[in-house]
Amino acid sequence: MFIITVSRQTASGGDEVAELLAEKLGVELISREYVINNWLPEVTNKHQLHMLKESPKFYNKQSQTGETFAEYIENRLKEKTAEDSFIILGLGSQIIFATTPAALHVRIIASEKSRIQKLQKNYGLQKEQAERSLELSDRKHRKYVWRIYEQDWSEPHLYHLCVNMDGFAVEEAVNQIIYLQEQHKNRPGSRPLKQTGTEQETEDEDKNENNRVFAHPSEKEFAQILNMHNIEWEFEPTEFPLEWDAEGNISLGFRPDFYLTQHDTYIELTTLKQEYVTEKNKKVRLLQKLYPEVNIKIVYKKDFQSIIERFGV
Amino acid sequence: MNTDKIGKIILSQKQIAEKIKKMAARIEDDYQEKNPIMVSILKSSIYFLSDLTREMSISLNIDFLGIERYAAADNRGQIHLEKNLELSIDGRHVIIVDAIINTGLTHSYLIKNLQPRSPASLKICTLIENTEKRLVNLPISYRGFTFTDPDIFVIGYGLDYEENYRHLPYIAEFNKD
Repeated sequence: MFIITVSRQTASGGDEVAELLAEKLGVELISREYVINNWLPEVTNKHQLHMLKESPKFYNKQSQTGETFAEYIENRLKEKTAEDSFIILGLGSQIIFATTPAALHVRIIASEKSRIQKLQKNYGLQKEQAERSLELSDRKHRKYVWRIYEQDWSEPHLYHLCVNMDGFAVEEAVNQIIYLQEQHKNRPGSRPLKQTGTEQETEDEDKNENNRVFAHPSEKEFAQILNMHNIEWEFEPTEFPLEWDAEGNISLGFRPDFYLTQHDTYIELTTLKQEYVTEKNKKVRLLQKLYPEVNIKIVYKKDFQSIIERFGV
Repeated sequence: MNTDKIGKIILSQKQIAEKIKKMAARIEDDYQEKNPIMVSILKSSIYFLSDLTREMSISLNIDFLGIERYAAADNRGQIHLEKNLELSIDGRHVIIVDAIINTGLTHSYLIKNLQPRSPASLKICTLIENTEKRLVNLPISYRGFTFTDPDIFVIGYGLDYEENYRHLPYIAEFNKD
C-alpha cells in the first residue's frame, strides 16, 4: 500500500497533477471535496457543514464523535489508508502522514506570474483580478494548515519532492512522481504501482469550448440587441472567484452573462425567478466588494422587458 | 390624448428652463471660437435642442440624426440612420444632444457611427440621464438631471409614449396602468 500526498499552491497545476496521478495509478483521490461530500455529513448538521466549507477555524471545533472535526478527518484518513492505496490532495495530509514510511509527500508550486496567467486563462480574469484572487486563496491555504497543525505549509522539510510546474507539463510532473514512488516501492508497507491510460482530457476541454450555447432565450435576444447596436460582446468569458473553502479552494464563483469589451462592462441578466435574483444580487455585491474595479450591471426582468419593447423587433 | 396617463410632474417648465440656462452657459464657455455642430437626435430632443441653442450666443451649427429600427429578412433586429447628417463633421467639434439617456445603447451606436467621420471632438449633452438604467459607458459631458429610479418612465418635453405627449411643456411620469 502507498500514499502520495499532494500539496499545491493555488493555480499551480497541483489539482491536475493529483487527478492524473490517481488516474494513472488506478487509485482513489481523496480531496477536500470528497471529504465534504462523503464523510462530514455523517457528523455534522447543515450549519456545521456550511462553516466547515468556509472557515479553517471551525475544524478545531468538537464534532458529534467527541473529536474535533480535524481529528475526525485525520482518523478517517488513517483508517482508509490502512486498507488501500490513495492519492490525498491537501487536508494537511503531508503532516498527518509525515512519519508514515509508505507515504510520499509532494508539493506542487509555480511562479506567481504563471499562476496569475493560469487564473486569467481559466477564469477570464484581468491581471489585477487574478492577483487579488491568488492572494486571497493562498492566504486561506496557509491559514488552514497553520490553524490545525501549527505548521507553515511552505516549509520544504515537509516534502520529499517539490515540483515547479513552470514550463513543465502535468504529465511530466506525474511521471516524475511515479518514478520516485517506484524507487521507494520496497519501503515497508508499499507495493508496486499499476498504471492506467489517459487520453480523454484534452478532447473534453475542446468539446466544452466549442459547445458553448445560450442557456436561456433571453440571453440570445440580448445578444441580438447588442449586435444590432454594433456593441462587441463576449459570452460568459470570466468566472470571478468569490468564496474559498477552508483550504483555499474556490468554492463559489460568478460568471456574468456578457462582457462588453469596448465598454469594459459585464452584464448579468436576471430574467428568471425571484429566488434566483436574490442569489445573483448577493453574488454581484460580493463581486463588487472583492473586485471594486470591475464594472457590472444587472438587467432585471422589468429592465429586460423594457429593452425588448424598445429595441426588439 | 389620454390625460389620465399623465402622472406626477417630475420636472416643471421652470426647472427645465433654469437648468438649460446653466447647461448653455457651460457649453458656451467650453466652445468659444470652436463653432460646434449640435447634433439633435430625432425626435425626442427637438424642444431641448431649440431651447438650449437659443440660450447660447456663440457661433454654432445645427444638424439632425434620425434612427430607425427594423427587422431584417432573417428576423434579426437592425438599426440604421434613417436621417443622416447634412453637414460634414470632419475636423469639427460635435455635441450629440438628446433629451434622455437610459441604457446608452443607442448613443453607443451613434458614437461608433460618428467617430469614423473624424470629428475634432465628440461629446454628449443630455437633459436627463437615468444612471440606474445605464448599461454602457458614454462620454456624457453635459447632463441636466439625474434619475436613479430604474422603473420610472417619463413623457413630455419631447419624450413620448407611442408618439403621444411629446408636446407637454413639462416632464411627467407616465401611468402605464
